[in-house]
Amino acid sequence: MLTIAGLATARGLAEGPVYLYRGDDDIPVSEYVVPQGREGDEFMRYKKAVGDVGRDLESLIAVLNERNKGGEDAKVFEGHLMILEDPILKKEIGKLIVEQRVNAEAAVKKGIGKFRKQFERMNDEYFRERVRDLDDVERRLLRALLGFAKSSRLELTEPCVIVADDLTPSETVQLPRHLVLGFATNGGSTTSHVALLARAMGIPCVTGLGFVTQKVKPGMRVLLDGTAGTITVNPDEQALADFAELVRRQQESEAELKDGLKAGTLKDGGQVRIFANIHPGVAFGALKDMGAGGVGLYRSEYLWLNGGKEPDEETQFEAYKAVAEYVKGLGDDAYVTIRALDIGGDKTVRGITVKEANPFLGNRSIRYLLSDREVFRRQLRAILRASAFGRIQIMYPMVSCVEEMREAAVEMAEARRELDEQGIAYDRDIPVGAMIEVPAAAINAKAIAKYCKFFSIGTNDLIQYTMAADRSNEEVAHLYQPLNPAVLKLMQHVLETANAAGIPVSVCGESASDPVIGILWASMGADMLSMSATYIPLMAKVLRRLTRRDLDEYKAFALGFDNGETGDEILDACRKWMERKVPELDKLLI
Amino acid sequence: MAKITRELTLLNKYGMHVRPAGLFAKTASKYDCDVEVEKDGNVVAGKSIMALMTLEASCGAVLKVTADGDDAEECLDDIAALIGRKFDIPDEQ
Repeated sequence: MLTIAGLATARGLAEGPVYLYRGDDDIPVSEYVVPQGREGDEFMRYKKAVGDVGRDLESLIAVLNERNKGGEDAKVFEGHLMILEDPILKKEIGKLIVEQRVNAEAAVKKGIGKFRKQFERMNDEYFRERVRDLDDVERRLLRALLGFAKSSRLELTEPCVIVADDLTPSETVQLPRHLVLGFATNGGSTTSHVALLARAMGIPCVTGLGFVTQKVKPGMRVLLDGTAGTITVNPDEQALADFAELVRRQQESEAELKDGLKAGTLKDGGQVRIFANIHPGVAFGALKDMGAGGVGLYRSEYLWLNGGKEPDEETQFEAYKAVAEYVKGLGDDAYVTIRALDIGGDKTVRGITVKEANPFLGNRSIRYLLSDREVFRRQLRAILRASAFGRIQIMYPMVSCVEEMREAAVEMAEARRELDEQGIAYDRDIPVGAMIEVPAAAINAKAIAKYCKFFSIGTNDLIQYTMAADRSNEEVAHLYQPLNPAVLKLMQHVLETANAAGIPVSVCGESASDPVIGILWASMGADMLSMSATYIPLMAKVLRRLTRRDLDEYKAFALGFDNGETGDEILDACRKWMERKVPELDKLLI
Repeated sequence: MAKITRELTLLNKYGMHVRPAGLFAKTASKYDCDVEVEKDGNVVAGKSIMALMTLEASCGAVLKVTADGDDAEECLDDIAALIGRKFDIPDEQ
C-alpha cells in the first residue's frame, strides 16, 4: 500500500481501477540505422503494428456503431483505418525501412511527415485540418511500436480512475463522463483546466501528485480522496474500511440539505445568492439538484475549445438558447451570465490564437474580440437572439479600461441594429457587464461601472495578475494568495464601488467556492457567489449556520489586519474564525 | 485492354476530404484496373486515400479520372455514380 498526497482539487471520493492515460503530446522517437540483414525483421515489426492498430480501430468502430448507428464518430475512424492501410503510405514507409534501414518508428514519422507537409501547405483551412487525422494515426502506430498503452477517450471500457501527467481541456471533456470515477495527475494545480472541468463535472480530482504515473500500473486498485487530496495505491483492508466509512459519512452529510431550504439561506433567514459556473459540453441537469439559483458564469469559449474552431452563429445560438431556457427552471429570478469568448492565455485554438511571447499579457478575451470584430459580432448576435428565450446577461472578460467598454458598446449597438433590421427579437434590456480581473480595471472600477449593469469579479486572474504569479507554476504557486492584503484591498475597493454605484456584483473565481474565502466576499458586499455546482451544497451548509451579524463580524475581523500580516497568516486566521463559528466545518468538508 | 478517361465534377460540400477520398479509393480498389486522378496537372494514384487527399480538391473541382485495364469501364461507372451521389454523405448533399 502506498498513499501519495497532492492538491485537493475537486471534492469527492472514488474507488476503482487505474486507467493510465497518455496525453496527446508528441511521442518522442529516436532514429537509428537498423543492422544489415535485420531490415526484414524491422519491416515485420511495422507490419505487426499496422495489424494491431487496425484491429483496435475495427473494434473501436464496432463499439461506436453499436452506440450510435451510422454516427459520425465511427466514420472518422473508418477514415483512419484507410489511412493506416493506404498502399502509397505503406510503400513509402516500407521503402524507408527496407532500402534505407531506418527503424520502424522513425520511418513512420518520416513517411507520414511527408504527407503532413503537403497538407500543411494547403490553402483550404478544411483540408489543412486533416493533419489531425494523420497525427492520430501516427500516434497510434508509434504507441503500438513502442509498446505504450493504447490511448483514446473511447477505449475506456469500465469505470476507472484516470491517472495522467496532465490533461488538456479537450481531452478532459471528451472523456465519457459515466466511465470516469476520478482524476489524478502529476502536474497541474487546483486551478488548472482539468481542475475546473473535474469540478464542473462533479468528478473527484487530485492534482500535483508528482510522479503518480510511475507509481501505478493500469488496472491497479486505488482510493482517491479529492477532499483530502490523496491517492492510495493497492489499499490494505484497513484503508478500504476507513474509506467505506468516509463514503458513508459523506452520504449522511449530504442528507442534511434535503429540507427544501434554498441554498444560500442564512440562519436568520437572510440570503446569499449562489449560482453555478458551467460550460457547454457538460450536461447542466445536476444544477437544480445542487441548489444553483442560476448560472453566474457560462464559459462560452468551450464551444471553440471543444470544436477546435469558431462555431457558426447558429450553433452558438442553439447553445445559448438551451442554457437560457434551462435557467428558467431554477427560479423566477434566475438568469445566466454568458461570458463572451475568453480565449488566449492558456486557452488556445489552432488557427485562431497565435503564439505570443507572453500570452497572459497578450491578445486575450475582449482584446481578441475587438481585434476580430466579425467574430465578436457573430457572438453578440447569437447571444442577443438567445435572449428572447430566457434571461441572459452578457459579460466581457478581461476588461482593462474604459476604451474597451466603449468599443464593445459600438459593436453591441451595431449587432442590435442588424437584428432590428431583420426583425429578429431579443431582450432589449439585456444587461451588459464587465468581468473585473485585471488590476487596472479593479482600481478604475468607478469609471468602468458607468458602462456596466453589473460586475463579476474573476478572482483567479485578479489574484494572478495582482501577485504576478502564474497559478499553475508550482514554483511560484505560494505567491498566489487569495487573501494577500493587496488582493483584499482591491476586492474591497471593487465591491464597495459596485455597491455605491448601485450595480450588482458577483464573484465567480474559484475562491468563491471556498467557504472561508467566498463567505468573506459575501460579507464584504458581493451579492452573489458563482461556483462549480459540486461546491454549492458545502457552501449552503456553512451559510445556514451563520447570520448576517456573523458576516458583519467576519468582515471586520478579516479587514482588521494592519500589522504586516502575510496573506497566508490572514487566511489562516480567517479559517480559525470560521472554525470557531462553525465547529463542525471539518466534518462538512468531507 | 481499355484505357478510358472521364472528367468528373465534385459535388459534395467539402470536396475530397477523408471520407470521400476513402470511399473513392475503396471503390477504385474493387477493380483490377489502374486508376489515376488528375487535377490541375497533378496526377495521383486513385486507390490511395492519402494521395487523393493531397489533390486539395474542393467542391466544384473537375477531376480527370483515368482507368486502365479490362474492367476500366465498370470502374469509372462506379466512381462516377459515387461522385454523383455526393458520396452518400448526408450533411454534404
